[in-house]
Amino acid sequence: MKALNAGLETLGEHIQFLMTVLKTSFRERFESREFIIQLAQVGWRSLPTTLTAGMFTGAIMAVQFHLQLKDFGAETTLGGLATSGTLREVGPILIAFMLAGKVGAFTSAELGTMKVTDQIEAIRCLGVNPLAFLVVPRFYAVIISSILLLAFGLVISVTGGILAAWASAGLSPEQYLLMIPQYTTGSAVGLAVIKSVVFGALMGHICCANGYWTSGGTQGVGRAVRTTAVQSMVSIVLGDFVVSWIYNGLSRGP
Amino acid sequence: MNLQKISSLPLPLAVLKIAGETFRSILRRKFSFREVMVQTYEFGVGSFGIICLCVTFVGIIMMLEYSYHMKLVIQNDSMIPSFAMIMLARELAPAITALLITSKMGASLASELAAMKTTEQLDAYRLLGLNPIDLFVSPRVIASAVSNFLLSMISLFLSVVGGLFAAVTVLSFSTGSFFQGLFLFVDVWDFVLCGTKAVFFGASIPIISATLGFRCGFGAEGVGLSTTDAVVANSIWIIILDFILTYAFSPLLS
Repeated sequence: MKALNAGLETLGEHIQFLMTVLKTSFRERFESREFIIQLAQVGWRSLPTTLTAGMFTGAIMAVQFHLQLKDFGAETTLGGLATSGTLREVGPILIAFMLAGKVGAFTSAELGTMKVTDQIEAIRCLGVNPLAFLVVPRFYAVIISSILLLAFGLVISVTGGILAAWASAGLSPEQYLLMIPQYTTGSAVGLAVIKSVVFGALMGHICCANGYWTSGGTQGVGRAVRTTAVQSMVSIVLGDFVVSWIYNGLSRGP
Repeated sequence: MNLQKISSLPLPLAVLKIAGETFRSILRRKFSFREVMVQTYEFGVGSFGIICLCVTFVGIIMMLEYSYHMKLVIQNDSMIPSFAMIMLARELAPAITALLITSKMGASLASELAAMKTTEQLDAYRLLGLNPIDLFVSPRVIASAVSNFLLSMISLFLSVVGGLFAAVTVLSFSTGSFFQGLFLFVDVWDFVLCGTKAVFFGASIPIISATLGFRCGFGAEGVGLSTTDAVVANSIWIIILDFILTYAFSPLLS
């Protein structure tokens, strides 16, 4: 009961913060310069992480699907099934987990450090709204760069799948690629895009909120980073469930 | 242990060095057994709720996704539970448990050690002739390996329960036909792989987090950065190790 209360309280605080940020972003001037700087920084810093995560996710899925399809002599369909499985389900969730650690935790550490060293108060003293100057550009930059990075990681995961299929199943890249259009339908790509958008929005909101709420000095920053990582992972899994459930319901028809 | 040396080495070497010192400390039994129990409680009970929540939903989604994919290749519903169970046991149950433990306990260990380093508490311990590795790292390595193993088994069970729920409510399985299909292809080696992965992931989380905590730069910024880096390095290492173990075990699996 206590845990439920605390959870609901946190949810309420998050919703309030989201409303404030959205209100500020429409009322105040949009800091497009800061936005572009953040976009470049967040995107560029996370490229290696996304690359590794995408590569290995694709490879793991290809190896696993190969083991399961081998018994049915359906190895040639590996390319299509592994790609579809990665795009629809495992890819977005695993790559988003990595990005929650990289993008989300980094942004909340940055904002948290500013908060505990009173830089945010200093900005307020100068007569500038810290929400409009610091939080709003980061909020949109993290959302947009996470969406782009997730999409990039999913494309890379196909490469990982090709390499793993070539190494473990002896399938040539042509055989792998030829199967992709047959089994990976438009709906798989659509689901991947929707999930990227949802996960990006969740991460962007959670890291800004926790960074902005940081208190308690050096240890507070560590705590903020940890809370961000945990909250983003839990919300990614729940978001994944909701999106899959609705999407499956819709594509099956009423 | 020389903190300056660890900060100046490149990260992989520093991790190896800490790992070596940790194993030496474990072999020489230089840690307190009481601390191991306390940490096992922290790791296990602290992340129990979140893991249960996330993994149940992952089980539901995997069941739905597998039914979609396998219907494309094999026109036989009865094998779907077994395929989903294999995928959960081999990949998702250990990986998702480990990623959640990383974001919760790994990040908290890194931020704790980093805060200790910036406030010079680590130097104080060394002045007293106590080795921080015996105090903080080696009990947690054992605790994390044990609790990660137990949590992975619990999460495997819960994800199958989630799968059962999805199969009965959405895919019109009966409970009987679900359980009949469940163990069609499942082998002892699948559980061995699940357990091995869990133990390896669990043992590596505290080592990597501690290394990054020891390497922390000064001030609040340093603590935030090293906590972030701990989450990222751990997640990347988990996914790489996951691939290595899957690949190494693939001759043994069906």
